[in-house]
Amino acid sequence: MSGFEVRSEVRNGVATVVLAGELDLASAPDAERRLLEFERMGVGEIVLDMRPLEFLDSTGLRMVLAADSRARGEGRRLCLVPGPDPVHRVFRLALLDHRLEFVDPPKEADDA
Amino acid sequence: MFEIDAGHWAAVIGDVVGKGPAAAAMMGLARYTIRTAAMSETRPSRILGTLNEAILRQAGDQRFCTACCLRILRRDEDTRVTVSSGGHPLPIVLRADGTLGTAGSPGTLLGVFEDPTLSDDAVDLGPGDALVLYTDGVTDERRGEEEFGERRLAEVLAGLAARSAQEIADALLAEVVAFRSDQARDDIALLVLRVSP
Repeated sequence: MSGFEVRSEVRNGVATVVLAGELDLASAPDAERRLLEFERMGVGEIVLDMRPLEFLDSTGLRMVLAADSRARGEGRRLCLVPGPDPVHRVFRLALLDHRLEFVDPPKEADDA
Repeated sequence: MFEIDAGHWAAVIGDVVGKGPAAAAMMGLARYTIRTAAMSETRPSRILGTLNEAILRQAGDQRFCTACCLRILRRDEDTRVTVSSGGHPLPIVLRADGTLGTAGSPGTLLGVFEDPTLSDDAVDLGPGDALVLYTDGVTDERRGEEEFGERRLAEVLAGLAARSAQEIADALLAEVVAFRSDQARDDIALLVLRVSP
């Protein structure tokens, strides 16, 4: 089973959280912790970048839905950058692609 | 699967997020809500709508489930199945001649939104046609980086046309178990319905 990694940064008041690998029962709490840290810091916008994600199960989906619900409740913006097809398919199948805020990938001016 | 009245059946497959006591409690809620709703509602989308509301009232913590609900009407030689999906993989129609398709249209998963999009779509089955319902544990099963996936599922099923419902379920499960490299990743549920040839 391949692993999971969360990377994050804050720039101009926007927190970007990049999820890589497999977001499932084992890794969802890690991702959620990182999101909650930014939420507690009071950032107004969080971008959840799922492009490097290889797998997302229902627990991962629930983590994203919960973050979206908190964002709506607390007046914050949660933008989702869709993952590769096997990952995005999970959102499409549940008809969530129009209920959550999916955005185009951010411009990578200084991508290393 | 249960009989509502003569020649009129309901069948449901579902998947609850997570594991443990909270998931088991939701499974219980889903079971009795569906059984009760099916007594007064004939449209599968309404049955799933009732379940959506029940989960929202009870949980309200983004704990969701997916479910696919069927209403099966048999009249003489004809079998009409009405399908509604709440975030669940769509049932696969396996015709007696090996032709494959899906039944129903995607719907919102249940227990998160007040206004889920749920629809009813009918499919007519002829003698020897089968309907295969499954949970994502089937398609998510892995061998290393490789997923069992929908395409492999279709390939396996195409080779099982004209077999009995039991044989289709057994053979598909055997393929999935043979495919995976290690321990099961998720629970697997399969429900195969077939019109007698």
